[in-house]
Amino acid sequence: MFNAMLRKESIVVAGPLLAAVAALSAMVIDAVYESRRHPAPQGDWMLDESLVYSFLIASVLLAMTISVLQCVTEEAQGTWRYAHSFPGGWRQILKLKLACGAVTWVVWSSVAISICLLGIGLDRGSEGEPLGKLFDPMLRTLVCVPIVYFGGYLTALRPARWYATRLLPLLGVIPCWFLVLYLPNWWIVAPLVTVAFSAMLIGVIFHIAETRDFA
Amino acid sequence: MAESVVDQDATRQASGHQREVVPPIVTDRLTKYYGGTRVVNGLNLTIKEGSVYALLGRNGAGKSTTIKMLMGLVHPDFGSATVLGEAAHQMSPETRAQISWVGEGHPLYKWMTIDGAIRFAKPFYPVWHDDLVEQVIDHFKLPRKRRLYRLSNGQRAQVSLALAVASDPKLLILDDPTIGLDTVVRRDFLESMIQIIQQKGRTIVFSSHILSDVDRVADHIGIMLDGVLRVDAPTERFRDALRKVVVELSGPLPKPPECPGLASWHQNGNRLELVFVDFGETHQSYVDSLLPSSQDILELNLEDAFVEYTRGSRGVMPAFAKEVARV
Repeated sequence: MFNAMLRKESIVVAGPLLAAVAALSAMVIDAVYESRRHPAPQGDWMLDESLVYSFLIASVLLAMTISVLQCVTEEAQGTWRYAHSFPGGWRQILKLKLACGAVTWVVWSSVAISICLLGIGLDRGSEGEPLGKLFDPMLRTLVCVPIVYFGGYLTALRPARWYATRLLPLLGVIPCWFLVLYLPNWWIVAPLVTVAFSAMLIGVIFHIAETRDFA
Repeated sequence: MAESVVDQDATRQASGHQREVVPPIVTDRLTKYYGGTRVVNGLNLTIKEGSVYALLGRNGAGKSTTIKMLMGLVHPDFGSATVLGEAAHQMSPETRAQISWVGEGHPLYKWMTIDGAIRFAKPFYPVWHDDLVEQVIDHFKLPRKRRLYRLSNGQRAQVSLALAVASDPKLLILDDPTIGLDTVVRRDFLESMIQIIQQKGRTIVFSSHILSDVDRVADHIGIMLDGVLRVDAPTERFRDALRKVVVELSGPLPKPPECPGLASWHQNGNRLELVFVDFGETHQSYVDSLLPSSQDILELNLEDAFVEYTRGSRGVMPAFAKEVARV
């Protein structure tokens, strides 16, 4: 059952996921190429903050896109009703879809970090702690991405006007996400905040799914 | 106004023992508003086990909303719907596994192949009969490797049917399944549906606009008008209850005709058409009082009966009385 849903959802999210991987790869390749053309001075590191921010933005956009797509494609195809007519009903479908989102997140994290590691490996810079410099903001981002994902999911699932109140959940989670991102001692606080916010958002998602009409 | 029939005493002899049979579908004052519009209005409906029940009505009559409420896809604002003994919006997976649904327009994942759609749906059901799927696929000669968006509407409907029957459901609910299909495909679809499901004594509920189909397959009909169930009766009983009386008069009527049981009327010059429910002596006396120069009493087919019954003024629509509908 999970495999069937995962196969289906992977087709839905494959496009944005591949686009994000391609964009990140291009940025890393460009950075490595530039580094080879213009070797960094002693003590500098070519994989600078711009790469980290690109990673951050790519992650957030990917989380938003995937969550919205997972709902909107069902809505547009009229397949919510079909999926919800299965014996497990909407609860099972929703759980499976969120689980598929989590798998996508794991895939993205693994691939993205692998690409960055490869970039670091190919870099000729002489930065003493490139991994440390790179991993801190990347892990912060990855820890915070679930909030954005659930916020996006809630936005797409809520029956409201897109140009009005429907975007509120997404707008609401972005400050939370920035808050977590720039917290001191983030490695302690961020996971807790993420877990708490995610649990709340999942609760709201299930409440919305239970009370809304799939007409 | 007609009331639906809720048969509280549905019992059946089974294996020589008297046992109570819970009707597969029971609704009690089921009501739904969209915005300020009441699309389903206090629907009381009981569908008996083993019947093929057609829900009829014009566009916007509330048929689809009723079916969605039965499937738990739409929440009623008032009243309740019980399906296979459980509240429609809180059915257990075990109960849901005994119900199959075919939606209007056959909403499937169109980028999947037929085989892919089968592979996708199968793991969600505790019981899945590959042989039933094969039977439908083979019968309609469906191309298994073709993606659904490359199939015709008729073929997509056939795929929907194959998926719906695979779990050998106790209850099959179809929301206008033949809309957009040509006559031959429509007939084949409905006949296959009846063959596969109803032969086993299963219950089928479907909504439709196409009355000729309904006449052929449904043993009971419910007619909804503006969200209200006006008729709930055996198909034959409804069809036979309506009679059209065509009279030639010496001149136009001075005032609109008034008679109990008059469903609709239409005047064209000196020719007057009157449609009565349960035409009898009272109606004949009324017709005679108009002093017609000639009169014909015509039987109606289901489509004509439906049109004549539903085009009359809603306010004075004659009742399809309980005792009549129970027949």
